[in-house]
Amino acid sequence: MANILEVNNLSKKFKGFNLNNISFSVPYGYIMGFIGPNGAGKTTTIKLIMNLLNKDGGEIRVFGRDHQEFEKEIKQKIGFVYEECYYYEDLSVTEMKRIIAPFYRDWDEPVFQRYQKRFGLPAGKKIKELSRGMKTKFSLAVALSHHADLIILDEPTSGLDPVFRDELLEILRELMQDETKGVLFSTHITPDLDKIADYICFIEKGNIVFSDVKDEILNKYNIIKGSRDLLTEENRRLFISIRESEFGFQALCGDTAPIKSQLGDRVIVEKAGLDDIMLYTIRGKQDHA
Amino acid sequence: MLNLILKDILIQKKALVFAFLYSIFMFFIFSQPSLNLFIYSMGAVAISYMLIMTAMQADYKNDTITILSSLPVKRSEIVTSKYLSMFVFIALSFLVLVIVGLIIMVSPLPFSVRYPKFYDLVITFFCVGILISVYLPVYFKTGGRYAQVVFIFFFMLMFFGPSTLFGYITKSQEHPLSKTLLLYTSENLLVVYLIAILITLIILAVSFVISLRIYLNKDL
Repeated sequence: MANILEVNNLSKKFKGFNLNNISFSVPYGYIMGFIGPNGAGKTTTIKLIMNLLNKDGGEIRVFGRDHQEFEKEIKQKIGFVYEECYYYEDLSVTEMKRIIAPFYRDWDEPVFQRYQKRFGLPAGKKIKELSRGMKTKFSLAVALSHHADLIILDEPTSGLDPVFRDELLEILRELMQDETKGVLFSTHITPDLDKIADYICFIEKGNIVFSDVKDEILNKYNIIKGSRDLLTEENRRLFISIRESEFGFQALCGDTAPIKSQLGDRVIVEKAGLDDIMLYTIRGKQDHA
Repeated sequence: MLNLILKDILIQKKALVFAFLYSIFMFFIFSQPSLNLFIYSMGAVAISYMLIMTAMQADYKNDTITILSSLPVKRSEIVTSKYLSMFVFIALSFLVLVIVGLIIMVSPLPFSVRYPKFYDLVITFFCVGILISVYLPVYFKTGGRYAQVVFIFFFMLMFFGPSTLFGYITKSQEHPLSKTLLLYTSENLLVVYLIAILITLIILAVSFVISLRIYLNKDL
């Protein structure tokens, strides 16, 4: 399966933070959710892909080509939405669009107009007068109006209301009807990814915890609930991490067979969501540290 | 590349309006016979400085440099466009001054206004070129903050420097060095202009290479 985005052994050193030889890939036709807590390295990775940061080592290939050597060509086909709005605050939506549009060979004005209407973007309003959600909508309209094949979203939903978040997911779903496209969707709001992501890459403290097909990840992890007195020194080791309260315990585990054989029907087994997996994994690492 | 230069102009409509008003003020101040020599050059230098500063600071003000660098442009093009837009700014500021100058000439306003001359352009190119040569490497290195200090320093230097220097040379006409200099200049005006242009171009080229090195390796 060909990859629209490939990251191999990518590393970057900062004072107090390192991105340690991370690798993951997004195949054509799929959406990859890029999850992790704040400061895990999501934005750093995206900035490296966009060549805003210089990598210390490793390789990034977009559309099968080196991201620095073919930077200009590659960026013609990348649509990006960043968490922060970095546009000229004193310009209106239309003026800003007029500045950006000529940079793209395949800029499609009717498509932009359509999104502008769909998102209710006020053409004459200055960027600084837009709400955070509106700014994101503007970025999204720009990202979707030049027939980009790879869409890179860095925490786009954090400033959005649930209705538009849902609409964004719907747009991405529409986009993915075309199998020549791909999406890298970084977020810490994991329920969004539960709905649309095909792959999940989980990064924490500059390391990839896992990068796999979402359904396989969801099948692999379970939440176990039970009374605290069931926990022993020995069976604690079977869990990735345990959260205890006076009413009982909840824990994340991989394979449930050994737990079931020990505790049988005395515990409840539930499927873990991405949120659970992220939270418990981070906690587990902290506990073991 | 052209888009980047065009963008630098599009983002400063307000500054252009200000430039028109400012040039009227300049004609008023520089209408005295002793200063009249410098009206076009100093006016153009001041307006160019203002346009350059507005354009450069806008990119860093909202971190728009992040968006620009994410567009399909090479970093080298971003650097090159900044140097090239200098020429556009000089042309623009000259245009503003010439238009305002002509309007004042046909108007009943009591200022004496002369036509622009070639040396006006040479002085402007020299002053703006030197500013850009120092300003841009600092700007690419520090992201605009320290560049402003360079800017203010140069603004003072370039604004008061040449007329002070000229005044000094004229005053000390008896000094042998001044005599030689004045004589040579008056006899070989074109050579002096060419030397000034050449020096500016060399300094600009060195500055461009430094800026390129800084920006190509910079983490945004």
